[in-house]
Amino acid sequence: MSLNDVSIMQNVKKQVWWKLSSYSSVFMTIIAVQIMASFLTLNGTSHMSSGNDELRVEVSSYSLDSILMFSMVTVFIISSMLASKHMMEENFSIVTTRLTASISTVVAQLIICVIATCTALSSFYIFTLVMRMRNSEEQFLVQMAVEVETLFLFFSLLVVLSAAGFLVGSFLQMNRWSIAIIGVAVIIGLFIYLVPSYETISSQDEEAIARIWLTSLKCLGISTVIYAVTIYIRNQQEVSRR
Amino acid sequence: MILNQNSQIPIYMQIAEWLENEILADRLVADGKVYSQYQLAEMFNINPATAGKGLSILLENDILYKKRGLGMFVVEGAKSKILATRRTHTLTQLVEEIVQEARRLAVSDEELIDLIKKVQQKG
Amino acid sequence: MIRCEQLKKKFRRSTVLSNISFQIDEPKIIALIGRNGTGKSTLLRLIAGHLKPTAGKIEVLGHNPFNHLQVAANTIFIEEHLTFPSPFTLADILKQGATFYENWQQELAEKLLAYANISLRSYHEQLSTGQRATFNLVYGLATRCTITLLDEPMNGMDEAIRADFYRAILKEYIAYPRLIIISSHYLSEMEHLIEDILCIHKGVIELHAQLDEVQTFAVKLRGDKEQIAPFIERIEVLHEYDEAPFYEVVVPAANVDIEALQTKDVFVLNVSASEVCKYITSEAKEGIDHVFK
Repeated sequence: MSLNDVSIMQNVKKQVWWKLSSYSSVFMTIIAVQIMASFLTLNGTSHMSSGNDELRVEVSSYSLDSILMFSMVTVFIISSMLASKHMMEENFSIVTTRLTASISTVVAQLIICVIATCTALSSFYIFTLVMRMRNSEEQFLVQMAVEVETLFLFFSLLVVLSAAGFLVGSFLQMNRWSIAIIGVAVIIGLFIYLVPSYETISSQDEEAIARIWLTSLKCLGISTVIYAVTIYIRNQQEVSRR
Repeated sequence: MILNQNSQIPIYMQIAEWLENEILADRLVADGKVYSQYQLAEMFNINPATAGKGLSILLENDILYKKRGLGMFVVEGAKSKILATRRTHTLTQLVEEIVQEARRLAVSDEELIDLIKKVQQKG
Repeated sequence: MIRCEQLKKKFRRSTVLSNISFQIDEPKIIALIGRNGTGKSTLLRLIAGHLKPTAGKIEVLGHNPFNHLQVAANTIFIEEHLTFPSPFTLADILKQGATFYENWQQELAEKLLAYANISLRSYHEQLSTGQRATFNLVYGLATRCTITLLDEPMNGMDEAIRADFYRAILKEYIAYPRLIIISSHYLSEMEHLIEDILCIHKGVIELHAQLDEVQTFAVKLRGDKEQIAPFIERIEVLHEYDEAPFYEVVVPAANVDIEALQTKDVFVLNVSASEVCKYITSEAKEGIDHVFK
């Protein structure tokens, strides 16, 4: 009868894999939401038209904005669900501690954010292409590519929301409504702080690009802090009975 | 053998008695290996520690001996030892019961001895 | 392997465990006995590291079990409310067991489930109460964890399968000895399998002894009240049943002159371990008949 020796890294890795395979329904939700959002954004684009008798120009621009909004909300909800009691209890049929469970949940959330970003991008492309094919008139595609920095910002924003959801979900699980409300307030405050920098993202110049990267980094920095705090708090938690 | 869970005799004693019976019936022979506590546990559906206690008693009473790493074995002459103890024990118990019964029926000690002699003489 | 020193656990309004001290040094099968709500599950959850003590000390495998990976890797806690991820079939859950537990016995698990007629393609939530209990127990046994904690594992199982699975626990224990603590209301059913009894009452350990000690601890005297009375004058009475013409009393065996009693036409009966536990944990000496008087 020898004792099993397990390292934290090994355990976290196994748990991440396990969590991703058990959260398959989560992925379906994300993908469905992205697709739905894409449908809905077809109208939420900007149109400009001008012209005279001989020439008419219509400019339609599509953006990731609405998909972003939907994704952010979805990721927030999913993260708070992952932090919930129910999910925590499932953990006790495997080898786990508060620490490894929290870390693996965070890693799983990050992976979900990556997937959400990729599916957002794909659905965006698919729909712009579909739109292109539907209109038989002459068209010029002015700019198709989505810049790396925009994509990274998308991802970073999702991560912030994910961290926020994780924090709020953890507080709710501890039945501390008041702190949860404070948490939500803090998060809203964060957004108000971040949004001004977001609004100026549409320009092309180098300064703007730098600002975008900076905003992304700010997001990731804030997320790290929120995640660290949440993990610390969860580490002290006992398992409560249904 | 089915164990009597409700008996006054503890289970480990019942196991010890059963092993003694096996020795008397020559199913376990001198210098032969006896069942391990785990085998007994499986056979009788009891905890190995309980079975182990039964074996220990026989070890203490010099009915079995232990060979390091190999298990428990029957001591030579164990059979006759058991027979002797049982005879005395059973007989003593019977006598005790007779004496008790006699006293209950208000038969004096001398009357009882006379009765015994009479029965012995009958043959 | 497990050591508790003046362990105390208090929930918001009540103190469930007030002073728990005991020590278990080797692998064995131990029954954890106590009335409903006396804190058996709480104690097991403290050992499993799910809860933190309010006061006192607990050590499992040499460490504080709360949030300790090594302890978690060698402990399994099986209870009624054990849940698994809902999209997983039972086959997936077994795979999960193999991933996380080093000593996992896949073949054993499959065979036991086949024996119990539980299909590996079903989902955990679809199982009946008894099937779920069976599955959870099989899962627990298959992990072969050094510390195996079973919280009322037989709840919901029918009688036949209970007997089978008690035997399965015994056989697994023989094949791979480990510390198994079974908390149960059905001590009489599993008395033959256990080595030690740990009895909790009113937040403390009322009894921690080997099975045969508990089995021979008390005797039941049945007969004429007047005849019995002189023998039990200064002895603690554990239980009394006084309904003419019957008179029964349960007392510790050590202080009683059994032989003398037998001559007086008094029956001296054995008291099983489960009965002893029942008597030492009851509030009233008279038993339920007293309520109906």
